[in-house]
Amino acid sequence: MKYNYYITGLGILSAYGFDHDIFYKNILNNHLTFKEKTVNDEIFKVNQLDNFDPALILGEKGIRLYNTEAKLAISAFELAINDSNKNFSELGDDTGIFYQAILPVKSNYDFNYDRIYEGGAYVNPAQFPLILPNSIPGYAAIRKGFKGINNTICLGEASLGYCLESAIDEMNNQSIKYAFIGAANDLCDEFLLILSKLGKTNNVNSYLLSENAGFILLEKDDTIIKNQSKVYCKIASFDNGFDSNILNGKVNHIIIQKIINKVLNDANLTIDDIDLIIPDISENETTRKSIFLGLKNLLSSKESYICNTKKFIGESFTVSQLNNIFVASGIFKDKIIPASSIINFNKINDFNEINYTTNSINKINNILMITMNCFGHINAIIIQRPDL
Amino acid sequence: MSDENKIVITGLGLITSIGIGKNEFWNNLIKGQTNISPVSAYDTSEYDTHYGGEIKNFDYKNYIPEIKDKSYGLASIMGIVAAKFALYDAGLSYDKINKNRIGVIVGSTGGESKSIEIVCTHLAEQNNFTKLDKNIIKSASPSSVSANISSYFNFSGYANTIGTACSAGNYAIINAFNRLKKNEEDIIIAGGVDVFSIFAYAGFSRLKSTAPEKCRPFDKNRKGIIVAEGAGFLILETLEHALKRNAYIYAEVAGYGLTCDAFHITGSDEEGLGASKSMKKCMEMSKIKIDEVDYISAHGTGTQRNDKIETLAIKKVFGDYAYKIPISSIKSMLGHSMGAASSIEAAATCLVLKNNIIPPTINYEEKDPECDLDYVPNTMRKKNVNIAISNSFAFGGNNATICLKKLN
Amino acid sequence: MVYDQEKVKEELIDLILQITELDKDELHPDSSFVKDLGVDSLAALEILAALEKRYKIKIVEEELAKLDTLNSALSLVYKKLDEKPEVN
Repeated sequence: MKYNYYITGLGILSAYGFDHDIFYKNILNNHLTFKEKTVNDEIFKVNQLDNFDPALILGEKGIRLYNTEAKLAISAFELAINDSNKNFSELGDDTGIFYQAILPVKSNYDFNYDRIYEGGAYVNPAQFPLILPNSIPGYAAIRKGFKGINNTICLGEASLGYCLESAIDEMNNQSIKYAFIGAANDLCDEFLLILSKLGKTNNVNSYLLSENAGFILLEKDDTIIKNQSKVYCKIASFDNGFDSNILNGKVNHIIIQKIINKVLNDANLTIDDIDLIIPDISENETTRKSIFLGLKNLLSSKESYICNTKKFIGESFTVSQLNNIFVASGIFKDKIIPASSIINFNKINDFNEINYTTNSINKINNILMITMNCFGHINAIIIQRPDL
Repeated sequence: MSDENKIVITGLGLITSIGIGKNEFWNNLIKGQTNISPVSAYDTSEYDTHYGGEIKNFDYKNYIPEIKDKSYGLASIMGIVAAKFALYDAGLSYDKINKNRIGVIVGSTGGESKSIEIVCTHLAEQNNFTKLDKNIIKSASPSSVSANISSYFNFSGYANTIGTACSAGNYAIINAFNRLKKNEEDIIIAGGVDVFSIFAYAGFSRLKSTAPEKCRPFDKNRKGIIVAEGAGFLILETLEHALKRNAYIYAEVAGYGLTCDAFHITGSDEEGLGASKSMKKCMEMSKIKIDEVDYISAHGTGTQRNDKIETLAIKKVFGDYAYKIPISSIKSMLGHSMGAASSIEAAATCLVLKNNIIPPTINYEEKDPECDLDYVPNTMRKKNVNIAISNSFAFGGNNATICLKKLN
Repeated sequence: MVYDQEKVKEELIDLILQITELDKDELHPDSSFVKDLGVDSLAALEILAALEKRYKIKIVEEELAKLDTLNSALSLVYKKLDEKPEVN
């Protein structure tokens, strides 16, 4: 990459906590309780942020029009700003917001419900903007006067790499100096029913869902303030791609392998330099097996640490990759990996065969993250310990 | 920067209410043709207005008869057809190109609006999804649009869906520009698509932003937008790649500007600061001076607010020279096709450069003292156009401007 | 249509306070929402939409200007309710 990019702020909204140290400590100490929630006689295993009051972070006024996703996202955004120890009131022109989106289910459902049952003549116009995925970053920008560039990527759980790409393009062009990248996962009833219909909840006990939000701050090394900025990790390289086999349900390792090789090359690393892999271990067999096979072909009989963050966080869709970064940041500091195992890909056939436990690791410099959504959009990111 | 690294447009694919395909579109555009008409797909009696820019003569089975529509939403279908047109226009045979070095970037406001409507309505009425095909639910995700287009052609390079509302088309072109500059792909199909959305219709109607019959950008008595649909996809590649294969080159994408208003969720800031900065940044990156701009394709939605602020912003950037630049809004003919608008406008601007003809802003009857520039009223104009800029200003304050230059 | 003027006034005040998030003592009956009280244009449209929904009346865009103060909004609503036929 042209410059060096670092993550220097984290905003976490999770049942594990809203502060990074607490979040990570709770992950190592607790098992989160996923409660049963029943919607239309269907059971889901979820954890929702039941006691979260957004007014504590956002204030009482000015949030009336925000839906749940907006409250979660913008709260995480405010937490990231606070965490950065930077005074952004002077930096609005140089700051952009990059939002990872999935379909805004709740807003669309509610707006349409009113349209049908109250009548189109009576829908509330102020509810219209939120049916668009770019309203949440829009509201966030208005709150803070961030006049740099806003972008919204609609690729669900694969959006992070594309947001990174857009942010870094604009930072390379000198358009902005700071980029906030974030997402939120709202477990509304309508979304749960959609997940069930798509067959994702066939095994309720293993399909755990998390209500969650997160934001990171990305900046170049020349704007980091020594002794003031927190530096969580460095982005060594990333790549985005697409595999057209996935939509047809065909497992394919070739594209994934190509992308992983690219991020290794761009970071001047080999697979041997990777100390930990955080793959997207989702319930989708096609994507999970494609990632597995891609890694297997690269690693062969070399053993590698794998961390399965979904084991303790559950599925959080657009926030998944951010959660992986939050966990990775803790691992860099404490060298303890939750829900992990050292594995030999030649000895197993799927990530699901592994027994995940907490492990200590001696050396942790480079972490490889890989995600693929159910449509075939892929990203791979290598993050590094910041003091390297 | 070497010439070879320039990014050029070599193919256009259009599905619009005034033409399916580039030629029909252009011939009708310069004639000032409009097919804005009473909305037929929905009962609009409960709304304040009843006209829309629906595409009433598009049957996808004429172009992709093999598609079973259950697996694809309508936006994906329109995108596939428009992408096919664009590839054909660029002289690219998709079984001969490197499928791992081609990207598909889609900008959209609603994504698969029709599928979203079906899913939400079904759930509201039935309270469950028992009787709804799960493929319709899966297709409602905006991710599916770029995935479906890419997968239809078996392209496994890069695919992206961008959701920046009415400027999404320009964002897609910008994303393509940046990737090609980095040599990530050889060819990128970039553009926007949006199908006619009753949610958008209801929303804009309740915002009192819809016009009764005509879209009248910059006219004193303009009453708002006409909700419409469409698809516009462009083929982008490096100049080097285009020259190697003897491709026809419409234009160079010389640069762009992106800003965020951070002012109000639905309206631009009153002084046009975000809009003017977007144009300024675009011209800086494109290395052009204000008196080199021969044409501006306006965002020109036809609302009192947008057109006044856009005019103000243009004056802020160009000063007195603003009065010498022809400006037109083709939304006057098409209505507002949402995420597709800016990509259709980019395609139209390519044709302006090729033909040296500027399309009119139709329905212009009375001058507004606050909009006193040259909007090419009602009749096309022949003019040598070498450099043009195209604006888009969206909800959420997403402003995007691109610059297209004729290559010699 | 028959209606209770005081009740309508109370409802209107509640609705405006809820949408604008003003405090009760900030809502001077003749202060302009937009010019004096900092209410934005979208909130004004929301008030219009809420009134239309609550009282099943129609307010056209040209009348939006008449919604600019509490008193003028009240007059407009009373007028629309007076014009409404009785519904059985």
